[in-house]
Amino acid sequence: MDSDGLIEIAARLLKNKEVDVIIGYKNGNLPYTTRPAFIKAPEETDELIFNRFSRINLAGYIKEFRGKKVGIFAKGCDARSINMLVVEKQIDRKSVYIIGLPCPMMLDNSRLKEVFPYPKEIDISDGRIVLRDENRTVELEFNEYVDKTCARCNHRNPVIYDILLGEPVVEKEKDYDKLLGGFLNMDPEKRWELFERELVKCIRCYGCRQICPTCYCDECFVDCNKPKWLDKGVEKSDILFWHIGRIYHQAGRCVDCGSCSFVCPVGIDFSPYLLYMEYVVKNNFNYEPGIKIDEPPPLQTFKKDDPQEFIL
Amino acid sequence: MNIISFLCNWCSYAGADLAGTSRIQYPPTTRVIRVPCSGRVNPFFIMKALQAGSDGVLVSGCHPGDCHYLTGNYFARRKFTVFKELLEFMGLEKNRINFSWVSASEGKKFAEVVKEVTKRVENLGEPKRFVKRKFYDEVENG
Amino acid sequence: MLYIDEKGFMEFLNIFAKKGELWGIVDNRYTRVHSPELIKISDGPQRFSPKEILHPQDETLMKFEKNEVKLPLEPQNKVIFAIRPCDAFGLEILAQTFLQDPVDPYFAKRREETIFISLACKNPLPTCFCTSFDGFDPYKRYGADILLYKEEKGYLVLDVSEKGKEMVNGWQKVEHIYSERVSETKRSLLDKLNKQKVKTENLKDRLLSRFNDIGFWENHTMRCINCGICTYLCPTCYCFDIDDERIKSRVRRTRIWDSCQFAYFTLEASGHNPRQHKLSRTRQRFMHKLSYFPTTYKNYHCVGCGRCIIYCPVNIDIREIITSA
Repeated sequence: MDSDGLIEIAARLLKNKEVDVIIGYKNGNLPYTTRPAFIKAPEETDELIFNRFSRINLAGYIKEFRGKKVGIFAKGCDARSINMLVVEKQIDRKSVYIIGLPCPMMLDNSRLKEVFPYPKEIDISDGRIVLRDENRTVELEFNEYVDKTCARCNHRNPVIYDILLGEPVVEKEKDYDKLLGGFLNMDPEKRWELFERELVKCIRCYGCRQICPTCYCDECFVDCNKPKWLDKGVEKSDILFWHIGRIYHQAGRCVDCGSCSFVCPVGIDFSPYLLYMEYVVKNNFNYEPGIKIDEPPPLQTFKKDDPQEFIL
Repeated sequence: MNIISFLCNWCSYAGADLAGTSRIQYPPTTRVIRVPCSGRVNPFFIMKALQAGSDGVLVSGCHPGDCHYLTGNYFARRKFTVFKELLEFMGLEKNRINFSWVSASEGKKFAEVVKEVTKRVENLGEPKRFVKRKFYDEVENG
Repeated sequence: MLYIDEKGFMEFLNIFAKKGELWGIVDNRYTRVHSPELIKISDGPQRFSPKEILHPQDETLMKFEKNEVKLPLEPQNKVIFAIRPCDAFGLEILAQTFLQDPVDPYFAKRREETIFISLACKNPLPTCFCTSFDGFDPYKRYGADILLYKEEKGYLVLDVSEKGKEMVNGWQKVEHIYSERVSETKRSLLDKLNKQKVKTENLKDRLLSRFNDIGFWENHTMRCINCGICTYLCPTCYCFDIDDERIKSRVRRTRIWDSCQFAYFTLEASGHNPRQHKLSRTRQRFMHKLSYFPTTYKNYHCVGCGRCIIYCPVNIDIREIITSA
């Protein structure tokens, strides 16, 4: 997490006109936040940072610079999203310069906020988080406040990059049985209850859709009125319809970056459902989103001997 | 009982026809919607049917390898694998949604499928989990 | 000055709770509560604004079946505990739009049937900048019916409307020591708030001159993802869409929140979209709040509650736009 190296490379790329814009992060003005930054001049690169609150998946912003050469910071999840966009022919791999950053694991800002809403100073070193203001100091264990998504991540190193900054980190396998076991052992009625309770909080701000790099449709099914798939109100089944539809559309495409749960203003946790989609696709079609650049997405292809036990 | 069936024009729909002309008895529980291919069936069709209060859904197409459009049912198979598993994981009763392969010559099998699906759906009872309730109740009560 | 102790106040709320009329904040949202103990109020504005009580996200305007039309204007008495003075001001701003001629009967009816209890702030959040606008006074009642001040073991009534007068009739009369303490707290609150004030002089003209300054808008809003969080949590945003929900021959016509941030908000039937690009949509939000609205109504369309700042996923800050315009 060497910001100097980052700035140097960003400045060089811009100076040599290798890219037109660098998509990265800069400091936010509230604690525990960063904001996406779009740097176009080499002298502005000083603002760029990469820290443990660089949470948002930046890949979605690439499509806004169509026809331009883009340099982008990419953690493991961003890189996989970029890969996915290339596979789905949304962006041209040649027009993106990927600055790969092995992910140090992001912190869960909402939980930190509960502990200490507005610290003046945040120090993170040696596996500890120290939060300070004039009146008090709080010390926390880093591992306990790692974001849930990052804690289970199995691709922290970017899978594609043009340049890699820093040493690759050690990755671990995703233990689906452990992650989903609790859910799968429940009876369906209980699962539905949980699903309903979690999702019914939704206010349909569509933040989850907007932040998602793979949600790029010109017309989302929820906006579509010919045919009108669902009504626009907050009636329970309409909300569930919207989320079932969105989650289904993510099958074999979601890279589990967790941005949707991160932006949600009411704190819905989508991860079990998206994770399960990942699991189903891996289990049935042996596909993992965003890993290989020459493999078509699972629902756009088939094998003659795909499983079909469920068919009468 | 109201089961919505999406039947492929080239096989299951003809299979249903054959069941009728062969006078094979099967329960009168299903309303048929003819589609050009099982690959035409958007999972939203199924959701829309369930939201509007139908007791169950049946999607039926050609056996693998027999698709009129060569590959439509292969794609459909993958879609429905994912979709069915997702709804099951969310907690919707798994027998509400049913899939089958019925060819044009399998009038008997079509009747069997409808019998089986009817039995499954009957065991589940009235659908509660995904139906648009508030709207109905409000309109009906006042 | 009227006073009621904690216990008496809970009993007071309980009367409404028993009738199913008490609404308060549970899990950050205004919901019907059956026991006043459930209501938790933290410093500053709460996550959701009380807008959703007068202008709910999904409101039935009418139902019809063939020639039969039903208007759902049944009485719905509600007592809301508690809103903040900035929210109360927000309610006044909402009323400016909904209650001007022609009056919106749905809003008017809800407004009439609802008692808002406002709770004066003691500690601002770092994102509060309410005093920046039009001499806003955080110890004024505005659109609320009762303004309370939380004492150590009870509540003081700072101000009460005609409608609320009846309700606080039996409360104990107290003097002096309390009013001293209130003005003490107010002074320290204002001290803090004034440090967080932003410069709003000449704002509407400053912004208007920035209208075509693409660089300015790119700088501040390029990172916007065009979700509706800011507009949905805002106490003053009121844009809505009207939709018909139909099942067989029965139709429910609903009024639902919509947001200027959505691409489909301005899409015309011809297929043309006047605000096709992200920057024009985000610009619209700030221009409407801080320039167009004050041109028509004399006050800004922002109360400085800071909700959009706290909950924006990409940290867009309206204060930065105000100061740098």
